[in-house]
Amino acid sequence: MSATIAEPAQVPLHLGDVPQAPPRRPRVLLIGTAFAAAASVAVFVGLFAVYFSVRSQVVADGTAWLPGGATIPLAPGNMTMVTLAMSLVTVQWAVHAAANRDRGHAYTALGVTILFGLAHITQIAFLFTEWQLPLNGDAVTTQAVLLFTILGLQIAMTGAALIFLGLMAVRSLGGQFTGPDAEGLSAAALYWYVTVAVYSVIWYSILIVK
Amino acid sequence: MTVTDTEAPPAVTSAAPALAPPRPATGFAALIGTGDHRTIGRLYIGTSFLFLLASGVAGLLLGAERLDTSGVDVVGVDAVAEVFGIHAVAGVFLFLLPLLIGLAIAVVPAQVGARTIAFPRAAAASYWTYLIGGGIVLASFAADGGIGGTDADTVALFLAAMIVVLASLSLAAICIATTGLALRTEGMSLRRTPLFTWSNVVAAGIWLVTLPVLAAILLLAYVDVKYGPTFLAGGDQLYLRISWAWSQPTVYMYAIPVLGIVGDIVPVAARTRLTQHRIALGCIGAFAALSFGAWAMPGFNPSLDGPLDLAYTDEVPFVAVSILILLPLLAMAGLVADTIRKGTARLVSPLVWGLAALVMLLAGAANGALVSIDPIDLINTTGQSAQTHYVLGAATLGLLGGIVYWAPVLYGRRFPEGPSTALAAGGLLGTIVLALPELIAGLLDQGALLGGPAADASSGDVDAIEALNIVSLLGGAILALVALGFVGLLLKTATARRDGEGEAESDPWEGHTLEWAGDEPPAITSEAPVYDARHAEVSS
Repeated sequence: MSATIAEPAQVPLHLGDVPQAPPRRPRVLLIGTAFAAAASVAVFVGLFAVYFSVRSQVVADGTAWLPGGATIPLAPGNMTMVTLAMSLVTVQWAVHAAANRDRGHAYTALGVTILFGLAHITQIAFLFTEWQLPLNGDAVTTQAVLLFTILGLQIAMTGAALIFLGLMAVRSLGGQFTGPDAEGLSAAALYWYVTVAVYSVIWYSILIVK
Repeated sequence: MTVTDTEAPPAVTSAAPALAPPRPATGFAALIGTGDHRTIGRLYIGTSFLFLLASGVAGLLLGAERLDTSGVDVVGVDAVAEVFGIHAVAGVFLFLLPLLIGLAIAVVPAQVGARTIAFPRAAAASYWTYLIGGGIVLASFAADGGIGGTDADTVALFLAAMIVVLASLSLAAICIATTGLALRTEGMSLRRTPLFTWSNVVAAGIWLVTLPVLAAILLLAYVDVKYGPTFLAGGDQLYLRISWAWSQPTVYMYAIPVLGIVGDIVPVAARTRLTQHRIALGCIGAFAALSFGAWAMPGFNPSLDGPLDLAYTDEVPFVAVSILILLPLLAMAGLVADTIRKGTARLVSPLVWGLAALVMLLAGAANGALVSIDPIDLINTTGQSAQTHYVLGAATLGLLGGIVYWAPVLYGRRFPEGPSTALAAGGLLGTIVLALPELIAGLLDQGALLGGPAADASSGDVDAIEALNIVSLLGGAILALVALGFVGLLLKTATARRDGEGEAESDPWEGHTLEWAGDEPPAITSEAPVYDARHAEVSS
């Protein structure tokens, strides 16, 4: 007995009847944010260049980098690094949830990320009170100027990233940045990643290595 | 059963009185709230010329100061550093860069077929921030602040205002670059991007990794001045810390869009396509990459008055960049020459401006190569000032040519050809007469910062240097006259539309790119779509 397999019927494709996909929205915000992030990184590269240049000269002279009495405790810096590392997960969670129109998770993740960011700011502010490097009075040192400038600017960058995240959260609440158009949250997340990357350089090369 | 007869509601015969639509803002309110890229561009252009006045007057005072090299008599020893600072800071960050940005904001969206610039509100905010920041910068100079200032509070004010200016210009650069990358119309790949747009995209990229570095130095200086000082002794050392921003190789980044302007003007004037558009894109990209110079800043010394470490000028990267940058320029010049040779060139005024800019840029790059050769010993002499003047002069000439070329897009009217051509020739002459004597005086060891001739200079050298300084001042005076003449023509052109003078010309040059296409842009099939469409009509 032989079985014959019927040829599948040729189904004509009426591609002309298929509605065209809507044109993709240009990723203006994402590209603009990438440029802004590059500019932010360039600011820190400039500051790091001066920091390492001055530090190498001081060390080459045979003196300790930190002036007498000054100390940089490890705990606040380490804790805030861990906090920011966790925020990398939560911010990506927010982007993923928004892309899947899962508003509940998106808002939860954004809220937790913003909380982590605020925690980072308070931990660095605590570090400022601990390291015995005065920035006012007669005992101001080059080290104090450099460290306060770099870490202070990183706090400012974190603040800007938090405002950006908050704005995008509000706009996604209005339905503007969800589903395939979650570009706004992706852009805010990109800036957040860069903010954390900048802090990780500060954490290792300034707070750990000292 | 009860039947309820429901009467139909009466037909609405007259519409309920609707709320009157909000009246559009007019006058100053409209200007403040505008998000129109052409208006923002025009505002940038107009304001930058106001700031040029401050830089130009300071430059002429410095030129007069050099006439007698035995002392500092014209502006006085106390003020000379501040005058120098005004000349440099206002010339670069309040005039030239905003002028570049203004032209780009107005033209780039039209070139890529976008309705508006990316982030129009941010572009508008950048303008108003620049205006306020620039005003505070000049005011701080007047109040003993700024470079060379002795009052710590006003020096700090100057630093803060400069950071604001740099932030605003960076914001504008983000808008321009994003427009060029994200808002190109369908079919316009990067390879088909008009050269002016391409040059602005790459220039904005370089500005965005250079200006923030300068802002970082200024921020550090601000904290230092405010709470220290620990390594900046007031405003005196400030000049030495930030002068890399207008020295080789960074100085070239202000001239990147000039290559795009020349690349767009030349084929239109020659009535043909640019030879090798892709190579031109590469030349501009290579020139931009080599102009990144934030690495070439003096070293920082933690002691208050430690010597400035200029060791980088002897190092291989500095010498290599200084010489290599000639290559993309020469290649671009070759493409331009070949295009003119193949086409049927018209000597229209934008072409004269553009060619003058290209020639000056080549002269500046050659001057820069000389500076980098150690045995010639031009570092810290007026030979370096000559290079800066060549390159920034080239950038200015190119930009003015761009304004002349795109005046129909910006103002709806064309510049008068005769006066515009004469001004272009005057600009070329003025730049050469300003810079060439400085180079020769540099070879005779004249110090760059009003240091006068070297201590061991012979009396013959001193006489020669003073004679050269007279010629250089004459060049500065010619450029001042050219600037005044150009502003006069600009005002006449800008107000002609309002006054109903002359005829509106939407495409007087028979342009090749989308800004000349009018209301019905053609499909993008090459880098010169309007040229293609026009020739298709002719051939059919």
